[in-house]
Amino acid sequence: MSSSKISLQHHFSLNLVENTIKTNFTNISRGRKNKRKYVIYGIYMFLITFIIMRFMHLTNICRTLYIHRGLQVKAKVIISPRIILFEPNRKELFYSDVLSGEYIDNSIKNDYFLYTLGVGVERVEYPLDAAFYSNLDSLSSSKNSENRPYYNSIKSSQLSNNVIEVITRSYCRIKLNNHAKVLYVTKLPSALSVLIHFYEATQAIREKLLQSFLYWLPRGQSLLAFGVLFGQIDRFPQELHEYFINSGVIHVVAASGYNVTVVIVMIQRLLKKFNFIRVVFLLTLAGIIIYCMLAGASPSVLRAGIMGGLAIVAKSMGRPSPALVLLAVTTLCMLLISPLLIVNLSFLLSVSATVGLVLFGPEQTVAYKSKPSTVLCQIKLTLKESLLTSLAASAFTLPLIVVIFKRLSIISFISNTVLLWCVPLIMIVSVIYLVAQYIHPWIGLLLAFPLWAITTTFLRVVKVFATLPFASVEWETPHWSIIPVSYTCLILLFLYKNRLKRLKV
Amino acid sequence: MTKRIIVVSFVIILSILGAFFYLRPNPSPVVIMCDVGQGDALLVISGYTQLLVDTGPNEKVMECLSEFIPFWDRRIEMVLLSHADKDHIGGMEFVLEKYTVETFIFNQSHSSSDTVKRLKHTLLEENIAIRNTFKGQKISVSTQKEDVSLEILWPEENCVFKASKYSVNTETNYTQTNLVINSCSYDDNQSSISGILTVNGIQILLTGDIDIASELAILATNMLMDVDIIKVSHHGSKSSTSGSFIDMAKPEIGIIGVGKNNQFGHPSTRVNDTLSSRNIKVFRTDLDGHIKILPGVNQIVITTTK
Repeated sequence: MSSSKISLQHHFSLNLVENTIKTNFTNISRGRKNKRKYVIYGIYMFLITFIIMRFMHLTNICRTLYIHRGLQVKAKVIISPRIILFEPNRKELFYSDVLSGEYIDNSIKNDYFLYTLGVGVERVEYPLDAAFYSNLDSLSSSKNSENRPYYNSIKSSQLSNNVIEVITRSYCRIKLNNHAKVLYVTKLPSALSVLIHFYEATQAIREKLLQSFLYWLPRGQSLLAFGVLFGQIDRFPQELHEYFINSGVIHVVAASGYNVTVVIVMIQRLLKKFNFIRVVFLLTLAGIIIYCMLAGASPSVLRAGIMGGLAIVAKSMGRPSPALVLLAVTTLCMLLISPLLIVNLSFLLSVSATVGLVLFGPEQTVAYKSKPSTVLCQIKLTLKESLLTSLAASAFTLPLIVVIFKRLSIISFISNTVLLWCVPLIMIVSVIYLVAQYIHPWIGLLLAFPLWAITTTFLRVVKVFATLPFASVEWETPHWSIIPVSYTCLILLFLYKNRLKRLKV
Repeated sequence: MTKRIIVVSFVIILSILGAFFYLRPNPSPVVIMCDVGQGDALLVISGYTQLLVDTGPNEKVMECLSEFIPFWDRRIEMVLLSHADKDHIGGMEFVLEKYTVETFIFNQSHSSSDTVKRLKHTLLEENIAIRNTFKGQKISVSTQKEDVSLEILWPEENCVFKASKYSVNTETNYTQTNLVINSCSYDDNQSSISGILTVNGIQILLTGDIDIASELAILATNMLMDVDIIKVSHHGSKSSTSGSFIDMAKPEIGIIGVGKNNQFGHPSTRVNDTLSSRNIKVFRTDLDGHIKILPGVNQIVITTTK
């Protein structure tokens, strides 16, 4: 199973959102005690939730088709897939427009080969390059030799059994059965293609933003800055990726609830003096959706986005929205719409980390505390916050990680405590850098220096943590019963904690 | 407010100073054999001047470039592509995406593979002038200390198709000159640009992907002299690196750009034996990572990243 799927939910829960929304939205429901209006608001909320869910689900489908590759893969093809580029080394699918005939994906690293699907019948065209054949051979696990001459055909059974099935002219099902992973793709109704174009546009923006980081900064540094803002795991160089995993800070470069929280808070603060509360509410919702699209609409981001959206809707109606209930509703809805998420590791980790944060996380965030008097005190508080957050999130994700990856990162608590406070700093500097770079590259260069300094230091520290002896310990045969046992213990602990509090009061 | 501006500008100035100090160039020139998987990429740095010989198969070359070139320097003074194979020119489009290339040396290929088409497309788009090179030419890289130069040994002049730019007419020109090219009867690998790179008084023999036939032809020209380091031809393929060629070049160190578990079985056991029987110390990018060579007056210091 791919280890890149780890994406812990980090930092704070929705406390920050609640605090902000409290100040802005409480007056909506003031004086409205009419029951009928509550019913109308209920329907309103249900509709919005449904639209968001439908929308997010759709983008989720698109995402699996885009396979994190961004621009070059055309969304039109999703509606009528013709050419599928299959990259055997990484076991992924690529799509392209059959008519353009151009080179499709500049970022394909390994070799690939080209299938063309006819209408109703599957037809296989000649692969592009001689090197593809050897890869094909390695797929069918036979030995390859140097300078193999042209193949004239590819075993069509390979296609029909494993990769692609074309059913009718308009309806195409693509089944990829690698590592027991199954993807179904159906033809989408044309009315929804507007949404796909919208998604395409956000992907273009995403790619542009990454390019403006890459304009000055080296690859690792720009991917870190970009990943902190929008989440980006896949394009990391292999070596760097392993460093991040071994030191247990890979969640930093995965978009998560923290990012969504920041988006909500930013919009709320910008529109603080704006009096039309409902407009602000709608703008915030739109902001969440746009951010989710920009962040690639991965299951963990969707979960965070839906939770944030629900919180805002609930607050605008003056209803309480405890984070645990929100999480439960969100998870259930997402699972109802696409049940396959239950085996999605990134989704599981995201949900379990959020549970941990809600139950055991620090109650308030640094941003809302009264300023500590001394610098030393502030540092102490920040570190304490980091440690508490990572402890709370790890408590619930650790059993899963141990059982699935058979690996235990010992250093992760220390590395998270040391590094987590950098994340907001990188965020701020990156945003300013992006704005400056948009104005002129030379102004961007001025800000590239501090950004380079922070990110380089960050990467260095990550490398140091990852290469420490005993940074992560392999555990060959963890028993599955670890998961239920540890979860029971944690829940008991939570109940006990509450009782303790009550006793104190 | 003014206090905040002062703090911000102080931080920026401090980070600029820090970056300039941290990424200051080595006082003497450096040669780096980049680890780009199965392929070659050799980077020569002298001060803020860079020479890149081959670009590897894909964008992995950018990791190497951004590691050794300071990030504010977006200009590579010279790029030389030895021949038009994917494992040598594949990374060119990614290089051109970020860097401005001042001088671009490349003998055009008459092959019509996808990689060549793609390179051609990129060159047309970026409107880059091409310089040809052939036997007997001396190329000096304009560094501050004038300590990097390249003497070309191969290919022969009449086998090089000369055109200063890719244009729409290039295809027809090819067909017109195909006769000349075919009379040389060299394929892409055989007509790789080879030469002796002199860096700070140390000779490095660059071989591209030449095979034994080309090696013999080079030997026949009597231009080959003693070298210190050899970039082993064709990633150590069994069809290259003959014993007589090595005996003539007398290198002490061999560097090979190969990928881990590559499908071709490079480097071959015959080449390994040829090199080890002559007491040549071999560095390989798959085992050693980036190979950093610091040519000194009396000694060559080699550091590897793995």
